[in-house]
Amino acid sequence: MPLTPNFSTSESLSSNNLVTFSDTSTGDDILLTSRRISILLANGKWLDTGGVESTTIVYHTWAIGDASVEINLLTKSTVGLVTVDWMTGAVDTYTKTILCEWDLYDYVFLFGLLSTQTSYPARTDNQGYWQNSFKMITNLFQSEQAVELMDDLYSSQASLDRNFYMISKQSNFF
Amino acid sequence: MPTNAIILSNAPIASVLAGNDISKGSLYGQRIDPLLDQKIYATYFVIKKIYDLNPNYSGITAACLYLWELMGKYGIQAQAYTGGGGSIAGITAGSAPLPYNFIVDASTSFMIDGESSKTISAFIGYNLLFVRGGVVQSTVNTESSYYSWNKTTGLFTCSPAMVTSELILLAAI
Repeated sequence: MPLTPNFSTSESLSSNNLVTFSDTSTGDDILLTSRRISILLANGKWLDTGGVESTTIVYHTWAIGDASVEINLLTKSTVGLVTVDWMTGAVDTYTKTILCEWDLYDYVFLFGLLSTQTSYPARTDNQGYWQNSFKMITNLFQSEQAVELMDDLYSSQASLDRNFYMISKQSNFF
Repeated sequence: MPTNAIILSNAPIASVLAGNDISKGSLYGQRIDPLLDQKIYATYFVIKKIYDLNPNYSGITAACLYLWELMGKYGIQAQAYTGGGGSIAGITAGSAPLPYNFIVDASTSFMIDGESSKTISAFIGYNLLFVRGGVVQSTVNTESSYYSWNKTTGLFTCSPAMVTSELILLAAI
């Protein structure tokens, strides 16, 4: 029975930089020798380990015997067009591409704000705090919808970039 | 306090209920944060994501309790929809006891000839309307005809006393 390639990804809640790729393919192909992963970003660059962006394609190795692989990829919430190739020697036998979003950096940041709010409600319970929280949450929502409903890498990353700006300038917003 | 799971299942409903109240404005003199429904949703949105990934995430209980505080009375009301932690009894139309409508006689009427006081237990807690001979009576005791009513004890008195053949209406209102 030939392989029907598929995979999924998940981001670690405790270490947001780590992304796990899991092979969810059905069927079998005993001739396969390796897998490789490439991740295209909205800016046209390729994502390397540690969040490094490269202008040339970067492949992450995924041993054919491993059902999943964890890679240190992120430094911020990111959307990427992920392609996994199932290789037979040097030949790319099967390919699957999925638009993936890893946005836990934003959630964890918002949760951190909330934790501050629970400890010191008077410090942060003001209109600016809430307005900017709403904005961040709306951006997150937009980003997720752009992936789920529109398959739109650019809109999704643009939403996350708006949040990244607010996170990096957080003293101005919260 | 409800569990984190119950708080999170009630939060979206609480947001809706808060939104309903906000839209009523200050018509009934209430004070309500015009952003409350949004605050509930925004807080829920973040906590739910984290909770789904790890229900034991550090700080999750404090965050849920904070959300519960935000939800306030709407969290309680939301339980009527989710079934968590009991339910809120529906509002039922008030049903006052049936009135006493009678013609005074010497022995069998609700108040008999010459009687000027009566404990009406069924009317306790209500106000009283007293109509005598088709004329609504008042409690002003400087008038020739008046009555008194104690809604706590149910004691009704009238002056002058009942007279045979009078048409009487005693109604709880």
